[in-house]
Amino acid sequence: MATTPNRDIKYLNRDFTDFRNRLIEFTQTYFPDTYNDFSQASPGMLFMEQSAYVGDVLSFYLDNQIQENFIQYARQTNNIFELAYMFGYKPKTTGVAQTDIDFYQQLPAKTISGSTVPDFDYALTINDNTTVSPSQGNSSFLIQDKIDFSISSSQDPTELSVYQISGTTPQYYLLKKTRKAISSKINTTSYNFTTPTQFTTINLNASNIIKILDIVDSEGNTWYEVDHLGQEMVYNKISNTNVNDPNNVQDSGEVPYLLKLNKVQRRFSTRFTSLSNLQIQFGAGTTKDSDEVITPNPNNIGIGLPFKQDKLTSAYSPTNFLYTDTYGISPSNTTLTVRYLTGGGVSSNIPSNTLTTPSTTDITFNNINLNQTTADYIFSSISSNNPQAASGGRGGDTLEEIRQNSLALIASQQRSVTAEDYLVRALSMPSEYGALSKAYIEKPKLTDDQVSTIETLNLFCLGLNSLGQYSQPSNTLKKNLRTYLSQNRIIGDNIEIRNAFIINLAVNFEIIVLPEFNNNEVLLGCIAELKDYFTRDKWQINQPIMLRDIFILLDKINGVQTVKNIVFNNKAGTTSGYSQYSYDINGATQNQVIYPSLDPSIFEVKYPNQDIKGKVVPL
Amino acid sequence: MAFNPQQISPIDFNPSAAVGVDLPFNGNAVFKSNYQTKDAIKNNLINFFLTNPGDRFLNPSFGGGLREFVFTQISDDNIDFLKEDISSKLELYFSNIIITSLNIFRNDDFNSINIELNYEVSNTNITDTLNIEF
Repeated sequence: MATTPNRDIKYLNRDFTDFRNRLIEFTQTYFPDTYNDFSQASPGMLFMEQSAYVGDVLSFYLDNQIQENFIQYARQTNNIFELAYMFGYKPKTTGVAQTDIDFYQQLPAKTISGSTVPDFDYALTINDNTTVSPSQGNSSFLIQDKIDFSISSSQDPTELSVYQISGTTPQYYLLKKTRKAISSKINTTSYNFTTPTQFTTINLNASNIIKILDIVDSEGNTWYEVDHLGQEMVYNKISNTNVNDPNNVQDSGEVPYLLKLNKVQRRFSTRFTSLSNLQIQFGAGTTKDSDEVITPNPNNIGIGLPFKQDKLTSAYSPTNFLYTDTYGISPSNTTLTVRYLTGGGVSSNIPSNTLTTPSTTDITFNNINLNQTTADYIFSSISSNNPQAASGGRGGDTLEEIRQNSLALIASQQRSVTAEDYLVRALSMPSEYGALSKAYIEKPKLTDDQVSTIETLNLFCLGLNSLGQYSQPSNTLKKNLRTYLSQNRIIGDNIEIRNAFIINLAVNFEIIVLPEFNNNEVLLGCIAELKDYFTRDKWQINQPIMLRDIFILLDKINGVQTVKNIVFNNKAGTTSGYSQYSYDINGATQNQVIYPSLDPSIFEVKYPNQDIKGKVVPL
Repeated sequence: MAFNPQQISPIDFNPSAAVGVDLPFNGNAVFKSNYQTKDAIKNNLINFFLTNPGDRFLNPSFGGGLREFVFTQISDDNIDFLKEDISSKLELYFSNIIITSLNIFRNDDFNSINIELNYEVSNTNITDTLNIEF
């Protein structure tokens, strides 16, 4: 039987010349009697060069395929998009401009017990996704949060001023609220579905697509966007009202929404297949599956796993712990109405004072049975303006930006692993669920007779009251925070959410002023500088006060010759409006540093106008 | 006495060792081998003249490019140009070939020409004639 002789085949050839030379060498070695003319004009060389050509092309495509598998090196647009999605990054096809828009409405005055007050019965509500059109250009803007002029809180303050007086009595008041707005326009399209198809897709063709706003079917069911179809749980926000949750409604001013985790069957995922095509994909299940609020428990976790033994070794995600295999419902015999946002781009960076025409379609009175004439006047008083120019509008991600953003995302996978991950995650909670002002995380301290604690991390947090001062966060806020953190929490982590301690301070300082300067002016300059130094934004829990820094700060002020003395006093006592916790400032001061307490605490000058006092003393 | 050594390719002494392949490719196994250097050179010349410049990968100027002249007017000027073109290309790509005579015969009645190339291979005793009609 003939056997194939062993041939010395080299695999290092990459290009045409390499292959050609190697084929000549191979022929000379193994076929010396069959072919010997290796001149370029020889017909035989024609075939060898063709083979070398094929080898070169194959090498190129091999290199190309390898290159296109790595996001660092991929060059083709669709490949970079696919790889970005693989890393969890959603490429942006447009960049939206943002700005703050002030909304105004007038309120009539009414008299109660002899005093004139605004009549909040005429307060209006401007719904979320209300459009504001510019006086010039085409870029309309959209507010994402609802405005209720009847509510004022630290997170959403309402400015009230007198708009018109009759004699000495206010006739109309002016309310002002501010909302962030993005340059976008709501578009609507619909798709008909008949027989169910597994993992059916629809394509949305439009330029500058920002995102899907919502999808609603003919029956009024909402379809939820998920990162991937395997994700069954989504965050859902519900209004913090008496009907929804009577136990937390007392905090509705500070926490207007409650965060819930819902299991949703009507879901879809999206991905850009090109800069102008958004593909929407649905699941493979049937409509018998229903949406519900799911609380993870031993009976439902891993319910879709066929064998009980698998539960021991399966990896669970908090967004997909049921392991059902439907990947959501496939729409059938219905029409889906898709609302999506488009906009952005450089042209959306519109100048200030141009967003002056709010759409009145989504504006309603909070109350009924109002005087029609007054109501009409009040309704027509709605106006808006953007004091700052919109900025941030730009084109979509460039390929290089998609590449870099995807790589950066690897370091921020949606898992909280380190204490800092939890801290950033907590601070990133949207303010509608109750905004944290400060947060600090640390491992629990063991007492002498302890070897371990139940909790693995202590998260100390603070909120703000209606005056913008530190306050203890409400239980509702902490509940929302617990739900928010649960998605990304490592299963072994037990996080105790606690209140941080507030230490109120008063500052008294003495300065010597240079002879040619006005004492009062210099003193006011020092007080203003100290107010700025103790602005709450600049302080963190457990941050010490460096006296040396304050001396230098005051020394730098024009006219100050010497800072003679700075004394900090503790202000405590709830009756006088301060924190209930007193603190030994002198005992905590070492080497010109005032240290915070062992339990996490924050220094606050609560009433800067009265707690910062200075004195000019003679040399 | 002048001595002019003539080299003979060693392959020509080995009757079982093929040099190249013959044109056209119509052998039993597509390829029909030739066993003499003289035949191989002739086939190389045919291959060269039938190749158009640009046909060969990474060798864009290789080829006689006679097809370019198929629809050219048969005139004395063009025939002179063709002669010059063939001579210069042979000099470039077949440096060991010495053209002993290059004749182009017109056949106006059939709109064709006949190229008769007589050549010898330097330092060998190989002489041959190539006729191309088109």
